Amino acid sequence: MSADTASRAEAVVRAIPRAPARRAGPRRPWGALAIFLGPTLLLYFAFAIYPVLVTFYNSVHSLRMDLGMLYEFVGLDHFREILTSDEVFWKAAANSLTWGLVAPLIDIPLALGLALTLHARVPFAKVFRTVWFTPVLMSYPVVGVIWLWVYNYDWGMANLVLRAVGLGGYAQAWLASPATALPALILVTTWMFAGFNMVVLLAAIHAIPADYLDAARVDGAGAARRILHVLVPLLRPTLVNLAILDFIGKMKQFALVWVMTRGGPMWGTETVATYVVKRAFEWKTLDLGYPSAVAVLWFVIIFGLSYVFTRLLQRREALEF
Amino acid sequence: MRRTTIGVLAATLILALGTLGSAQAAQLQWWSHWAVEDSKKAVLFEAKRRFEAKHPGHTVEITFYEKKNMWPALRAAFTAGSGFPDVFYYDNDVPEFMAAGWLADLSQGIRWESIEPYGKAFWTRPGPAGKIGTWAIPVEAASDEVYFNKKLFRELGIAVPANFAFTQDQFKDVVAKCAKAGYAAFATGAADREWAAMYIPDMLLLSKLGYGDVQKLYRGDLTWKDPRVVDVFRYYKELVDLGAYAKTLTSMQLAEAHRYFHTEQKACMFPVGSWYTGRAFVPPEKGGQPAGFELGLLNYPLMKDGKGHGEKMLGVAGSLAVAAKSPNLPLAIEVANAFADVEIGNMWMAKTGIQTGIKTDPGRIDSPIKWYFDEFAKVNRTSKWVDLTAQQVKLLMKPGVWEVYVATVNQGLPNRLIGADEALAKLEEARLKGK
Repeated sequence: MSADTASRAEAVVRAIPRAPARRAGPRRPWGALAIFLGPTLLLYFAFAIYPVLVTFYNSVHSLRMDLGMLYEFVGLDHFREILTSDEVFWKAAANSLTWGLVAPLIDIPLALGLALTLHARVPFAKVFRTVWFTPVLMSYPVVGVIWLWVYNYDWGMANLVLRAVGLGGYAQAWLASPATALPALILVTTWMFAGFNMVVLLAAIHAIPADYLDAARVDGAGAARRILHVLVPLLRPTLVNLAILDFIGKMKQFALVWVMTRGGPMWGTETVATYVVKRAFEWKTLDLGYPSAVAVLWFVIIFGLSYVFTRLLQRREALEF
Repeated sequence: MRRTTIGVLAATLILALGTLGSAQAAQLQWWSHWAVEDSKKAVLFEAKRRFEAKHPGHTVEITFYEKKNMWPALRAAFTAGSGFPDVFYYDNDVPEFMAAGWLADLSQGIRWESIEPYGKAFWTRPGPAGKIGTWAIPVEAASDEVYFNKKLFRELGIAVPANFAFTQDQFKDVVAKCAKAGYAAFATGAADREWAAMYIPDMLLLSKLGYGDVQKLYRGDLTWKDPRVVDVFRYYKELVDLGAYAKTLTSMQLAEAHRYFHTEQKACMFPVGSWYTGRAFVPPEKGGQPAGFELGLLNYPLMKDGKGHGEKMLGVAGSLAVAAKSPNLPLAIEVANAFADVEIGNMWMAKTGIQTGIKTDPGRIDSPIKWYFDEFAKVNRTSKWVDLTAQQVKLLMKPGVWEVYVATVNQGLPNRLIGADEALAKLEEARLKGK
């Protein structure tokens, strides 16, 4: 390198404006942060984090209230028993998993159909939107009682309709057999949440620029192709999120089962959540350790499956309209 | 200045006395089952009135529940350590409350001389850490009965034997006749009671095995594969297959079962506790049986080669307990103590027609349902009472076995979901695994 070149390089370096010395940022208002966040964090810790930690702790202990709340460390014994010899747990897990997998397959397409119907501005769309959304506003106990009436063998609407249309032979006690009880409950949650999913999807559809659909129409795509090849791909992130939320919700199903069947008949509608409550508070042992282990195991399963489904179904590329 | 000082002191004194007075006056909370049973409520209100008259300034507020909804609320409150009542309805549905230490020991502070000894003995059991105590006042005692509709029996040509007990074959004929005529044999609703469909199988087991062996069976000391037990279950399955139960069994609640039996008259018989009268002997507009309904009682079917012929189940039912951690414990015990009175016992019998664990003076009971007492006495004149009811079976069973018993006997068998042998196999497996 010649001296000339070196001096020119030095000149260039000098010409580059120096970065200003790193200035200390404004001081964080720790006092205000503590005042505003402290109570919330405290409540969150007390009512969310602490119970979870205690549940994990209890899961490796035997904790019997009738023995004066004495803790006895049992290691992984509870988990071993659950996995190797607890038939009811496996039935409950199978029911919950069935519910978790089947419900989104019914709920989401149905909600999409309803949302598209409203998007097409059918007559009385506002009325339909209100009617379809109303069940979401009701609590599980109310919905449970209503559907107990619907499924009543003698005078329930389900059997009355069947008898009225000459299909009385198919009338049955819907909640009396494991073969029909679980599907009957799945139908109830579908009825209950179709409106919520519909509203979310309707908002997502409205957010899609009309240009895309217009362009497809100009290219000669019919309604079905516009839905399948334009709308659905653009709605994919929303559909996946709804499906995963639906899956998680159904895997935790408790209240509806408790009101309608309490897990019967013959464990035909037993879910893991109802089983945990029964083991914790209805068995004479009052042992909180074993049900805690069931709860921990189920938490891990739901967490794992949700993660897997998210990885499998979510596309990495961001969609921009 | 001096006047002002005196005035301030006087005002302070008055305020302090007022505060002291209000601190001493307690309002006790009492949660009770029997929300829809006015006859029982009348007795409860009388006990409350007597307590308040005896303890001026203190009051009792009764909140009525259906017990199915009360148990979870109590469990949650006791587990949390707050929000529980001072006094509450208690029975065999939740024996774990005793072991958990949630009930006050009532061995002291109650006039036990006014309580039947068997009633006190029933609630004298191991409590927390095995400590023996007396955990409740036995207000209600009940036997497991088979009520029947006399009019329907007459229409179907069913004659009741002189001893009010059908033989095994006769009973099967009765069930068959009812089913063939389009009636359910039994008005049972299992939607809100996990033991509702257990009455008949429990009665058959008692008739076949006798009290001693049936206790062994429930405790897990006798196998469910015992040939006598197998006989009973197979016979019971035959009754079910004949159409013993309504198809509404699973969705029908206890209150509906009452109406199904006496108002709609869709079933010939109603196996249920003798507390039937608490719901039935009220005006029809409040769910009671209609005027003119012909109520009869039967004894249990006589199983072939049975060791328990003539034995009949009787036990303590609805009772009253006190919360161990009540801030008003002495007063709460006094509320319970108000029941330990022969006059209250008489009133209970007269109003409800149900047996009681409180001592009574039959000569002083004046009741409009005397005809029922006479009928009851006639049918049960030779009954050998044993300390057991369908609800008490849970007390005898090990954890885990009861749940299988509920699933198989209250759900699977009566709904024809499983056979007798499958039910027995599940019960035997649970017995062997029971802790």
